[in-house]
Amino acid sequence: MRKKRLVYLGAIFVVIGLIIIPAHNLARKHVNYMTAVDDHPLDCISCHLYTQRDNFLAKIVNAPYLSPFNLAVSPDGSKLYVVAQEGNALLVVDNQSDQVTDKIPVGLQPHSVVINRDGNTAFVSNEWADNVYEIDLPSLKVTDTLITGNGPAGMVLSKDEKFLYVVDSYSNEVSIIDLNTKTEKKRLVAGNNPVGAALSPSGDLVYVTSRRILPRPYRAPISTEMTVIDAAKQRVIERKKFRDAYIMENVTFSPTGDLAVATLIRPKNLMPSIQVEQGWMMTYGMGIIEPGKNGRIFQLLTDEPNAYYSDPFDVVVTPDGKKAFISNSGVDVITVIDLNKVRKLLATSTPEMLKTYSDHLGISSRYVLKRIRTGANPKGMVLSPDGKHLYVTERLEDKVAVINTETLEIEKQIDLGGPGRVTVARKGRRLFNNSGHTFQNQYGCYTCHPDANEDGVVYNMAGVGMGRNLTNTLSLFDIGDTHPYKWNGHNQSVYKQDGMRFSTFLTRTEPFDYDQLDALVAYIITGIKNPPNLRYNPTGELTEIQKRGEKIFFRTHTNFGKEIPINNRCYICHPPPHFTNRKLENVGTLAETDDSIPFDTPDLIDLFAGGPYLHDGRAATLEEIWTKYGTEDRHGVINDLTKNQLNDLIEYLKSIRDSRYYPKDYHKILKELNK
Amino acid sequence: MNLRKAFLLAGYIFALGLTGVYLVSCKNHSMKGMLIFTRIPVDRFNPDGDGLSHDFPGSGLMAVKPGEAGGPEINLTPGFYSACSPQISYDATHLLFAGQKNEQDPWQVWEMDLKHKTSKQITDFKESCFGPAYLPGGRLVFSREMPDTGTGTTHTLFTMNLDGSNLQQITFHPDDDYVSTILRDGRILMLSKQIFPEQGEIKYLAMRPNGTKAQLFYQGEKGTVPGFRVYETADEHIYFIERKTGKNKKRDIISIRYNRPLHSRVNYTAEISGNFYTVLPLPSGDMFVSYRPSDNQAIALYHFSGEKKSIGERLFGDSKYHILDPVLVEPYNRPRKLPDELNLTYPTGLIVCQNVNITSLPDTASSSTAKTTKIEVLGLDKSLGIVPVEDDGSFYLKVTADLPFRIRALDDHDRVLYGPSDWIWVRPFERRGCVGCHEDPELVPENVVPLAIKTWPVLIPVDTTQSLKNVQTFKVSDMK
Repeated sequence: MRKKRLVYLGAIFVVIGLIIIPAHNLARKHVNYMTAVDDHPLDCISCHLYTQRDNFLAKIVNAPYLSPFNLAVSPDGSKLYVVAQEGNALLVVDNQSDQVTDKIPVGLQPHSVVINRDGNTAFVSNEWADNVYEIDLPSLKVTDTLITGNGPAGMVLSKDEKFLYVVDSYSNEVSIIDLNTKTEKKRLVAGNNPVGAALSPSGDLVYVTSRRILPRPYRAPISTEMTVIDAAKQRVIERKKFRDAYIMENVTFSPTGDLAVATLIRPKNLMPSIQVEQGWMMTYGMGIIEPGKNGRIFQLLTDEPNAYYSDPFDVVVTPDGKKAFISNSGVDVITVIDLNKVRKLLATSTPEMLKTYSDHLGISSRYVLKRIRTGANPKGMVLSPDGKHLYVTERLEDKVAVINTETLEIEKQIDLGGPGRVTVARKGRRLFNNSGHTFQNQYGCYTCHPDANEDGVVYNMAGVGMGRNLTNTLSLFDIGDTHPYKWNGHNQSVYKQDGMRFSTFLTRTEPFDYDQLDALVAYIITGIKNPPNLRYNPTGELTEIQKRGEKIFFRTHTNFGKEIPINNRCYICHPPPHFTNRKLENVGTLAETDDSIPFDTPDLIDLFAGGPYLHDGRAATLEEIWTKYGTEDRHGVINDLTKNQLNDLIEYLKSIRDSRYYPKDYHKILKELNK
Repeated sequence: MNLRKAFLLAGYIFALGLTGVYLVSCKNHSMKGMLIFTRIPVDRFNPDGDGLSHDFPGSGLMAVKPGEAGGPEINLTPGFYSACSPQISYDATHLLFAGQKNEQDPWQVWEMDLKHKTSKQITDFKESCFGPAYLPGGRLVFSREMPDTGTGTTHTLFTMNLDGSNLQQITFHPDDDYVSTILRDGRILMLSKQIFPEQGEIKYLAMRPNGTKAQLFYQGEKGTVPGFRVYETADEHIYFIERKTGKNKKRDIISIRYNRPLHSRVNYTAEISGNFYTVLPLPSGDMFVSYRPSDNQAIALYHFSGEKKSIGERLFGDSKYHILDPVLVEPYNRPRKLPDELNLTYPTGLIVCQNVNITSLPDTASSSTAKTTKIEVLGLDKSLGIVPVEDDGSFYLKVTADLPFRIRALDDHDRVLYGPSDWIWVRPFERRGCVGCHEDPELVPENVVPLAIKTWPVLIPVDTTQSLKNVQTFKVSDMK
């Protein structure tokens, strides 16, 4: 009997062993494959729980953060109005008690808030809803919805408060809203991806920043536009160009109007990405404009030779015009600028000297007064009416920092009441937005992927030679199901993408540890949603032109009745819902500077917001993909199309949006169409 | 004696034994918080010498408790003829030092287990090795005396595992190189002095641990020489001793900021008479310093107030010995472990210069308006080739790896406009860039595509039997 028991027991152990050992080996193989290393912990939860999306588990492991973005202060200084970008709300904060007293629901992905002079009305731009909410502050009620262009972001009220200038960041326009009729009176063309706006102290001018670069010949020096609007005539009177700069987020005027200061980045994308030392990849600073006739435009760096202050976002100037504050969101720092020293520098500098200063890391020591450490990801700022306090949103902290503008110390942090815990994905988002994991903090993931999208420039990644393998930055919106990654498709997972090689050739410092890597992957896989394509496909119902284009996209025969080879049909390589077959293809786009490789088929979601196109960004527009670089019918069959048909196809391509925004039966429709 | 008493006695003896073991064990751990320094007989070291002072015959490592002036000193290296340059491991359990067992032995690198005070030899060369420092990832870096191969005796940096395996040479120029510290960003800060073909200035270079991207970090004012050892603090300051050359050989405590080392120099002791020899900054902002108030005294260890810039109490000293290189046995943050992009199977590396006409050097040509149209790459004993620069001033070279070279700028008539530069090398598969030629180190590159990278790099050494015209032809044919 006893012997039998022992035999049974032994048999059970053998069976368990037979299951566990192969299972362990399989799991090890799987993890090694996914991470491309052989020592990543065998922790199923880190990959399979924290990367869950849109389900019950995802709700448990993630948390509804507020993510304060921009803010305003009431005219008497008693209240703060904080835009909660993820919370889709306007938070009212009592400045005495430091408590959130009210939470006003607003539209999707709110961006900015402005308050009128009497403090009774707030306007909140809803970037993913294409409107601005007018809010009556005494009653805390939304009283009107003002329709704008696509992607309303920064706003400014005219001096007489009769008009609201709303920057339409996706459609590259400025909507001028008549506040009497509550309708859009005019829409002006701005720069590429405009975001911030400021009114000159006299009320005569509105400056509008833009983030993406202007069209220019392939590989030519870059420039970005500051649009100048005559507020009286409501016309664009000048398009100032900031050469070698981009990502101009915000702009402000000094109280006397002698200077306008904007935040900007000076990338080195045209240089081979061979080192980080000596500012070889990115530098950060401010664009300065002397308004008026013959006013100069120049740029000054805020970095230092061995320290970079990445991703400048907001800029404010004290009422006495002596200090400017810049929020460096990539390093959790507020940089304090002595504007009088800037003025002195300008007064004694020739144009040649100013040009040199724009690339000089030592010049900042002449005007940077202090660096103030903040919580994670400082973004929007506002000064109290008396200028004694600076309020800074700490976006990934769900707090507002209060800084004394005399002592330049943080006095307190106001907790906005977000979830107390830091989830794995949130930790990943902090890593994504922070430059601390790049040599000398020179850039973070966010720098080339602002808002997790792409920055619209082509980098010379210098894989082997220095002038080879140019790389168009790819968007990171919702890429969880679109592996492999990189244009060459070498990375089967985000783990590999952001692992050892990432640190060797990009960040050039110690790689993320596995906890950090798991967190970063969790954020990238779960936390980056495509914005709705309200500009080209607001309802899911295609226009007639788009429908014609859709038929061309899914066609099987040419205009002349000839059957298109299966592998050369658009929808075969770009099938819905992600519009990629996730395979490597050669569609004849290889350039002389490329190694001879096929490319990973990109997804086509929200194509309209991207550009340039193709792996090396040589196509400035969607049209150029075929009219200039794909004339051999290898990238789909196009040569039989009329000009109008090509236009139809492109209109359809622009309408493609994330499947989560489609009607539920959309896939059925596509299936039918495919038949 | 009854059984009960016997048991009690046994228990008593056992408890005593345990206590003894415990006390011995405590003694083994007692190094935490102690101060270790190099002690040198006064007759074996001239503190006013001009040398870089990396080795001290007859020296020894001593440990003391910082708060116990006059307390017992522990000789950590009784079996050594000489021992100096102590460096504490990140977890404060081990100590690297340079030592000689016997007077005739070459100096070698040793590691001491601070718990058991036992030392193991790490390097074993015919030549002397000096100034070791820990690197992240279980490696160390040290300076090794190299035999004269026509350029004079040099000191070259090597890295290896702490078990003595995987030796890698990481500097390749005819300079004397010594490890000053490992910066918190993961780079090696080295003291470097060119010795061939002429003596150069002594300066600090920062370099990745694989020997790539060596660049100027700090160079003192004319007439000053920075010291061997450097300490970086958590508040991003770097402290070292700087010596004046010439008749006045005053040695001062200097700090620079990591963020802007070339233009942030602060002299802490300009107003204090006497000389300083080594400095150990403390987390409090104060320092332990090796200081000699007057020439007829030995160098002793003092407290120094960083805030007041004043010398404090004398902590340790002995009229028969100089005291140098204090280190605290305390854990500290490990520098970053930098990734290694090298592929040692590659025979070459690449270097691109954006615009050779960007230079901070004064014009040395007959005409200041002359434009650089060519560069000459100079090897140790011959020209490695003349290469035309592009219209935008750029050039792009593929250079034999680990080969020292210098570059000088030429005009159309082959007149030297400026240069040669300091010695440069590229490691296998290294890709490296320069903004200009001896440019302002605080200048970043302009964001333009250098014309030179639109074609293939020029191989260095070029076939110098060919004319310049043929050099150009080489470039085009290589491209095709």
